[in-house]
Amino acid sequence: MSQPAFISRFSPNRTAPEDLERILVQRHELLAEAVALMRESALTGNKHHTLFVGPRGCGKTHLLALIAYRLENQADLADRLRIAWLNEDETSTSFLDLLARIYRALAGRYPEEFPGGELEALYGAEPEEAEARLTEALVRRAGKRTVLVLAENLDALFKGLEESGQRAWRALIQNHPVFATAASAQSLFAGVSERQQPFFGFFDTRRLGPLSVDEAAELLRKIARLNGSSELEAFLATPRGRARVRAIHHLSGGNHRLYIVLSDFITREALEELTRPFERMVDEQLTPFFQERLRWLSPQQRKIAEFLCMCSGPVPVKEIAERLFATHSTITSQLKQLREMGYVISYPRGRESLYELAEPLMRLSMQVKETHASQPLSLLVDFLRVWYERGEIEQRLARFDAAAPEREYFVAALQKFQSGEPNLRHQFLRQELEGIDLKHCGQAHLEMLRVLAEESSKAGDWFKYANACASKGQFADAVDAYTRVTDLPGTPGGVLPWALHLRGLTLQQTGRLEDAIADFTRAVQFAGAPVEVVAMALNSRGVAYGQTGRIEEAIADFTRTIELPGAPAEEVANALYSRSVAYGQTGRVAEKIADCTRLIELPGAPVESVARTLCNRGAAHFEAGRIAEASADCTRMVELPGAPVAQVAIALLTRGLAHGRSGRTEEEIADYTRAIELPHAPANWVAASRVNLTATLIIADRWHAGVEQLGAVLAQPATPPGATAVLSDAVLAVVFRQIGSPEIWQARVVQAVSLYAQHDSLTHLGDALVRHLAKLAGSVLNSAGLDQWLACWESAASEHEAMRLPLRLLRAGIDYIKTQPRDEGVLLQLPKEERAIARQALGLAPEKTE
Amino acid sequence: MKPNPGGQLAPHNIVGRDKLVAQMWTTLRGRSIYMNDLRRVGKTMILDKMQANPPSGWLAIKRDLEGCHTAAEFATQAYRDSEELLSKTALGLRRMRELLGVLKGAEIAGILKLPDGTAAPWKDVLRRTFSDLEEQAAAADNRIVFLWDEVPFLVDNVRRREGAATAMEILDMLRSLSQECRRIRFVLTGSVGLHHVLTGLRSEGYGNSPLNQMERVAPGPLAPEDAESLALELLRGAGFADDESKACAKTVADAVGNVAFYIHKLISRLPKGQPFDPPLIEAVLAREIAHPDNDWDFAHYRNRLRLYYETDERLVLAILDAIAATDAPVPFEAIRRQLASQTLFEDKEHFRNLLKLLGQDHYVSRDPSGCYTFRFPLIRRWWRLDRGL
Repeated sequence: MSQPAFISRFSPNRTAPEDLERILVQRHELLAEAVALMRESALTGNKHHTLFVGPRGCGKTHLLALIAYRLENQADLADRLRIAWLNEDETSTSFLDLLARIYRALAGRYPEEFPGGELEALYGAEPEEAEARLTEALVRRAGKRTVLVLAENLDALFKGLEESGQRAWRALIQNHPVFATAASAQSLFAGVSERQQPFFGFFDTRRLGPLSVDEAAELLRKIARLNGSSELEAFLATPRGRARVRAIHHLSGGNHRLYIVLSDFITREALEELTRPFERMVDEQLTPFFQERLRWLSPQQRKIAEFLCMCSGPVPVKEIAERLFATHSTITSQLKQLREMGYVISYPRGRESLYELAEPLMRLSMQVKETHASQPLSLLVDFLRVWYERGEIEQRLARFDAAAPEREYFVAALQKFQSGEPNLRHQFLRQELEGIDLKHCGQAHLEMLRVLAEESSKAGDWFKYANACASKGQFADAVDAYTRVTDLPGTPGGVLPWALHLRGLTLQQTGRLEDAIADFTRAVQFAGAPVEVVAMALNSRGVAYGQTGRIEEAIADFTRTIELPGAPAEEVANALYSRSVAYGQTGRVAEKIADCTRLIELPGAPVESVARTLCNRGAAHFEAGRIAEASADCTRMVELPGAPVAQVAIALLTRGLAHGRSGRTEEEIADYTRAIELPHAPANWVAASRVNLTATLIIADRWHAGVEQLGAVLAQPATPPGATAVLSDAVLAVVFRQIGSPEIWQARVVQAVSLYAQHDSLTHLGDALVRHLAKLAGSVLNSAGLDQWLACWESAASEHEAMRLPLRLLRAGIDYIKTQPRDEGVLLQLPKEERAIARQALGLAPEKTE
Repeated sequence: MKPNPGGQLAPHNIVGRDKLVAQMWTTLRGRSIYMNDLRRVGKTMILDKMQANPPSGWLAIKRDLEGCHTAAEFATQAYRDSEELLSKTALGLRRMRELLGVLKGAEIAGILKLPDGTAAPWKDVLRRTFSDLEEQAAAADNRIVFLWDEVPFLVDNVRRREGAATAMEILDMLRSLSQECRRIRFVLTGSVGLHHVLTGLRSEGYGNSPLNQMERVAPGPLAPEDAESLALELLRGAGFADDESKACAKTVADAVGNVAFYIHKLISRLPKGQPFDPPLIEAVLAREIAHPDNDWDFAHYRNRLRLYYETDERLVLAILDAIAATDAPVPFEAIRRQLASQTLFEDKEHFRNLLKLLGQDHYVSRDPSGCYTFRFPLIRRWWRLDRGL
């Protein structure tokens, strides 16, 4: 492995910028945008002032470093831009001091353009004079160029300047528009966010968020690549590698700096010069900073922050209040302030909010404070437990000298393994997987489930993974995972029959019915299996038998479920339903109805099952001609609270038919109408109801209402095939029924043609007209009447291309009907194909040829 | 042009103020102007535009005065700017030369000094400077305008450093200069209203009205078509070139009440790299103003009521709630009736005065039919969210 690149985990501006580019994650777009804004500042009269806000260690300096690096490498900016990067460790107590810092920064980078002597000449001068001269010098030496001021810890800078210094700085920027700014701060502060402050709204503020798990993994891969650790890089791209990163995420809180630090522990073979410098960094840099931050707080607020430092994740207000012996309202009020000050962040969970520290590094620094001397930092110990397997820790430990400082970390980690504490990595993974919806989990979670199962080899973990795979249709993986559960030696007895049953269901989905039946059988026969599983397995096996044509065996299984003592009502209901369907398939209508009745009256049966069964039984009664019983079932179904809307629609349609059979036209119309207007009713049942309603109205000679509905039928896409033909025949019949009243039937002909033409359905009308020839032939209409019939149709429809053939057939058919005796030779006016249609319509035998 | 909320723009990028600026130049022929409006509405940009393109016959100099902490610094700055303004003329500032001497004295830094090394009296500096300017302007037949930004901060700085009395004197000087100079005009403005500073000085005995003779101008938001045009340009500048750009530009402008700063801000917050449309823009804005740590500072409108309305705070809250609750402007009577149903309040005149104050404080505006609405729809939107209306 090559010498690892020096990534200064504490000062990115001491890391080679090319390396900073190589390990950049998450912020490519933000960086590009920031550079573009500063380019615009350099090249135009627009000047941008940007503030990046984020907790310590989130990558602010990294970002500023890259902004500077990229700008400096743009050749067209060479004469247009000068960068003044202020030293973050310095403070400014006055505006003059700030001017001096800016000048010094420029002098350091561009000594010939900003000679140090100009500043030195002002030492000892009166402050007002020095300020004026330095301002003039800066502006003069900047000339036509833009000066980009890079300032970190802007809040501290503002604090030092106080309001008078801030006003002076703002006046400089406004009076000499040659400055642009890229600054950073740990959180939004009053100086830029309060309306009365000089710099309110001045900065374009961008929040820097923590790394997501994927981004963290990408960062670690990039560091590995930079260090030439191809094996590690490849490992990090595997599901196991990603799962480890996920687990570390719980420790790191997504903090960039922590990841960079922790990457050293992963990438280096030898860990010397890591742990001690890390402890020193925490002790010397982080701790004083965070202790200072804590001092700004009131005693109560400090206690809350200290408590949260000890928590590994977000906690609810109630817990904080209890632990601190304070009231809920007091803690809520303090947390609100802490959040506004940027110390904590909140996460909504239902109606409550959980809180955690905004800065993961604060927790680390508190650990240092709380940890006794010479004890290893628990963060690093936990990291080792998460990252390495027990065997790996033992191997590494064997390579250390007894006096190596890092040894104590590995010893501590090993002790945790040996003490029987749960596997921390698995614990974190399970935490993350808690509460996820297995049916709708994403690929990342699915991967985690698998890794967890592979690593833990626990039946429960394989079981969850199998269920998730099955839900997502990944049946092969599901079967494999269920098999792991069934084959694992330590699988609890309560889990095994479940796994068998679910594997069976999965096999059934893939068409492997015999294998599925075998699994269901095993589940049923498993000694001590819960009755619930036995009932489900029997039902499932019955369904599988049905799918393979073994109806009697299916019925036998359903019967077993029904008679099984203690079987859940839902399974008994399923069994009754399935058995009723099986009876129906074998023609045993009475048993079918009996089962339906039993299910409907079964205490505790799910309402969906009852609804479905009422529909079934109603249909069975209807088919058997028991109209009253069919109607009663449908009524019960319609009035069933909570019934699925699809079932209600079917019931209304069926009851409508039943009413129709009984001659109760008004009730029939009312039911079809109700089905059509039922909110969220499935489109196919609405279409069927509309067809029935149309037919009923037309047949009842409610012409206008019928035609209105007919228009809707012709327009709807879900009209069942054949329905339009039936309706069209009804239209012809009803028109002809009024043959004694020419004003009525002739108007209806015109209306019908117009309606069908409007909906591009004249073919159906034409077909019905031709089919009607048989009725014409059998009617008592005389020649004049027949001629009138023809003339009216020709007048109304001859302009439509689609009606030309039907009209020809009608004319020929009428010519035939008028002949006494009937002379089939009249039909010879038609070509052969058309003659065949006409003959069929008139009920004549097919033509004989010589 | 890229979105630049709060930053500085080249004058040709300042959109939608041409008509207002033209009106202001017309006004300046007769009197000086005090420009006051909400923070970030664009007052400084207007000054930038005026400085960049003064009409023929005008000389303009813009200066942000918040860096001046003493009366002497202010006077020196005025002198310096005047010198620069007339740097091309041969005559220069005669009276000031008499004061400072030609070779000795003169400005060393920050403060003008007399030949004997003492600080030049600031009032003298101002009077002489402006007398010289007046003379020069007459000779050249032109006019001069000082575009002074952050005047309230200047006065506050002086009050803190040198005491209320000096601050009052500066105000009086501003007043007399604006009244006496025939060819010199001023446009005064600031991030905070001068009335805030005056309130403090009045409590210390200041009784004058320095702005009396000045025209009050409140720029307000951009005209809708200008706001849309700005939004469209910024969307394109930010890389959002898309079929929906025009519809989105309108959505942006409408959503933030045509305030240029908020247009820049909202566009700068739009997520890149995904399709954008009006619903997305609305969603981003809703998320921004609902975020507990947002930097739009609308909470200011709620928080300041206690300070400025004291015992009337609850009543004012009820008034604003009543106006915010509906989209349409609300008639006076409707507000009064609603209040009457919630409180025992019956003093109609007091209620009328409160509405007037709320108008002066830029919360509400009244239309020609006498109906009230929130002056800025964006603030109304936030108000509704914050108050759970």
